[in-house]
Amino acid sequence: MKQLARFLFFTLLLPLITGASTYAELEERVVEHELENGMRFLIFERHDAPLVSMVISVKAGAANEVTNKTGVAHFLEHLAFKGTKNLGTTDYDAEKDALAELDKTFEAWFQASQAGAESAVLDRLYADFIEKQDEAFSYIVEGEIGKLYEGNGGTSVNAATSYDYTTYQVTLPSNRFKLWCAVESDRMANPVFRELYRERNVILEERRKGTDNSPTGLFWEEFNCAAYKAHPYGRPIIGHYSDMENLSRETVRDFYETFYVPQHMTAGIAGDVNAEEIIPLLDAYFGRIQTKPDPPEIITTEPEQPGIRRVEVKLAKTPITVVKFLTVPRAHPDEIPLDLLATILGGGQTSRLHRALVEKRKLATYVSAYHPTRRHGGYFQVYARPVEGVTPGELEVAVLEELRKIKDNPVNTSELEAARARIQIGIFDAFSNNLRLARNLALADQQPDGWRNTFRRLEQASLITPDDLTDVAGRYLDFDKRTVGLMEVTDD
Amino acid sequence: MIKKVSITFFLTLLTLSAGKVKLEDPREMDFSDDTPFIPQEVEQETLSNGITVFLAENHELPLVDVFIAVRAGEVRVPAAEAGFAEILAYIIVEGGSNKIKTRAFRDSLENLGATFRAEPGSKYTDFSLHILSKHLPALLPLAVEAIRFPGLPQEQLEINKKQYLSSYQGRNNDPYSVASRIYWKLIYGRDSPAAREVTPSSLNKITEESLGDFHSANYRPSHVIVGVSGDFRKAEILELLETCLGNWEEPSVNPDPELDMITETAEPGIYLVNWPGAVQTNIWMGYLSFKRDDERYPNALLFTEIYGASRFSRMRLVVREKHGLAYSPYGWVSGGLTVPGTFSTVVGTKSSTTLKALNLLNVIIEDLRTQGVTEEDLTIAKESWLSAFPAHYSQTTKVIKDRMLYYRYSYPVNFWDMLPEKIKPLTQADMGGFASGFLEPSQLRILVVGDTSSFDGSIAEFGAFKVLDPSEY
Repeated sequence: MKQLARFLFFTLLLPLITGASTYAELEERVVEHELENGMRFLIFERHDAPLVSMVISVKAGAANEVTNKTGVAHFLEHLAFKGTKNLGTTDYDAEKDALAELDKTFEAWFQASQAGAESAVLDRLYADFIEKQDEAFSYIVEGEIGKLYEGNGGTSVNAATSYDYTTYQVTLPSNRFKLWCAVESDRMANPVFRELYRERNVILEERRKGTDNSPTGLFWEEFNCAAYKAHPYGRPIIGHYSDMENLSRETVRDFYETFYVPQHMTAGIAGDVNAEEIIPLLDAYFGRIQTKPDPPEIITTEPEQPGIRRVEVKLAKTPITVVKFLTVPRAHPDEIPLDLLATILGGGQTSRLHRALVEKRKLATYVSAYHPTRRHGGYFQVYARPVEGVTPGELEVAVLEELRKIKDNPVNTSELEAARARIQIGIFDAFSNNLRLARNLALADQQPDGWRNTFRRLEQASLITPDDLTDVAGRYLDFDKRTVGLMEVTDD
Repeated sequence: MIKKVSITFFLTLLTLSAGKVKLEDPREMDFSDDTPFIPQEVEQETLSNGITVFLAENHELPLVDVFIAVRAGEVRVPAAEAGFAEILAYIIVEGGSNKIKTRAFRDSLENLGATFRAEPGSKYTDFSLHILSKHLPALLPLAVEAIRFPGLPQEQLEINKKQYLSSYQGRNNDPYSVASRIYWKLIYGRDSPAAREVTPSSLNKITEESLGDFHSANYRPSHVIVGVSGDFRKAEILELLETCLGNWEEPSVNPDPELDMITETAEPGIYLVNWPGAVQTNIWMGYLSFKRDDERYPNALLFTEIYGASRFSRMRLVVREKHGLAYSPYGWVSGGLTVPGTFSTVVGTKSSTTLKALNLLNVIIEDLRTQGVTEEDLTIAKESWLSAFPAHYSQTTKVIKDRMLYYRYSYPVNFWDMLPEKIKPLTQADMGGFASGFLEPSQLRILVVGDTSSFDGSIAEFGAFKVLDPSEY
């Protein structure tokens, strides 16, 4: 059957796709470059506008954190904007000593407060801390990295932390490419985590904004924690409040030293640059990042889920039903069949779940299914919002009824082709703007199947048959191993 | 100050230089080789019935984006029927035409990986079709037919109503959403098409028939502007558009009148929503500014950089970096296209620093009002804005959308392109004059949403305040 599908793909489908050859052309245009220290670069030239976007992905994220130190990957990402030994300071040698003194006074105050010291003692120790902090601040050139970038026309200056990766991005006028080389290589090689105590307040505000002051934020945190018993994917990326309050410079430094290694960094570069011309710059600037040992791998695996897990909370007036099944990591042979299954079941208004639950049974106002994969495991998730008068629990039952039907009413060929069409246009969409492309290239390079596989997904999808989808549905959508999240409506 | 570290760093860099590349200090780099940037050319054409079409070809990817803007927004809908224009827009993209019914319509689009979306706005409803270029001849007529002859299926109307009802029920879920909703009502008025919301009562007034009447009156060729970008050929697309749209005749019925965008503005002062249990206070404050064709608009763009929208802004450096009071403090002066924009500030801070944050915001505004901007402020803001100018046009779709935007409101289509020459000559005195004339703290409408029992003092310290009930807004 698969041989037949491959035949059909190459003989029938390919000639109909004007982009089929374009995939090859696009792939051909990506220039791959690796430094001696292991850092990698993927360069895509595009000369439409005098702009270039750069995204560095570091293969380190919240999943690499340990107990007591949740949130450190994200905190490091924030502190990476505070400068380096060269940027953001008037005199690093003097500042270094001031920071060491500052940390000692903080530790003294913290230990005393943990030991229940009298308030007079705590006040004195805190005053010492503030004095040392002011001294450390006296060396700061505030916001120098931000000013360098935005003062040079930088846009989309930002960073993001996920479970597996931390990315740093900027778009610059293309004649300022070497500015990025100088700033980013310095940031990756010589960060100084200054302004730490102040920035800790900022990330706590970020947590309040996204989670603690937001009913839906709280719901998602509770639900995600319930889905993982052992794996760090169950922890909040931003961190637990009590951990965040106590993240120290030493903790951040340890994380950086362990995980920010050049062999785990890839930069995607897309825009108005000439690869031949910039490679010497990349060699010179980024080549100075010193090689370090490979970081430890995560060895914790999520054990087989022995039963149903449920989270039921009453936090708001917007009821939600979520059903989750843990699946496979990126590049697993079952990844694409599960992707296709998610599209057919819950991708858009032609999907089975929408037709059944929104249109026919009128139980939901919205429903979708999706299958994101990460390095250590993915999940198949159905998200639905019930109509007035239907409880989230009742909608859960209906969702399961519809999922069960996949066995009696297997996916047909036309459904499969429609799902493949989404993949086809999605590959081109990934190239539609420089920043998105740079990010996609950097992240794709760090996947187990490598960046080139981006272009193979349509071909791989063409080999999948309806039987394959029935098979993965049977193996992964095991109702006895689901995690359910129900956001009930508050009583008041 | 000469930085000791810079010298050391330089020496280190020179030592580490690889090959012929001389490593440089980023602060010392010279980028005077900027070449003038000219945005991609956009062609403007007219169909036989007068519809204006903007075209920009780009053949790198086999993708086409078609944008169809229809001047049929909520501004033509009375407040009691709020949601009319929005729901009509969603039904058009979800419900198909009177020839091709819902399921066949959706199958035709989704089976080919296409997306057909509606973005309802106050004045215009924007439709967009994103497809592989080879599907243009098949799918453009399909989308246009839905816009011209919507099927308006009753089932889809009911689904949309339920979705709106669900959103309405969750309208008071969190302090941020409530603050956002009430703020715009304080500025533009409760019934303003730019601020009001769809209610169960207004939903009840929407029927298949009334939607059809609204469509007949307001979806007309004189209200339509089209833009196409991507992988197409001019002659072919014009022929296709002529076939789809060129025979659309102006209806005899008059369009519904456009209502005022600003219905009332709340009195300046402090407005408080007490939210027991909130751990973060949302502060929104501001007042009306001016239109985009105001001569102060270039000043406003630089002021926004300096005040609250950049990494070097006062809001960022003082509120976030120096005091650690907020994650994403933000402030701006916008120029409205048809009515005045706003001077607005948004800050979320923990309950126990609410008054501290308010005080700090007052200090920042007062400092800018009385002291103006520094030379450093002006230099970096100008450099930032001018060097980032090409980013405004980083994609062909952005060029097309920009041209359509200014054309629809009768501005010069190259309005944005003229701004650099207006920004370059601005001086510190110009900016100081702008700040002292424009900033009026006494005019601020200050909305505070948080748990008053956890505030670091009484809000009365800032003067008289009015307590608001979110259910009434």
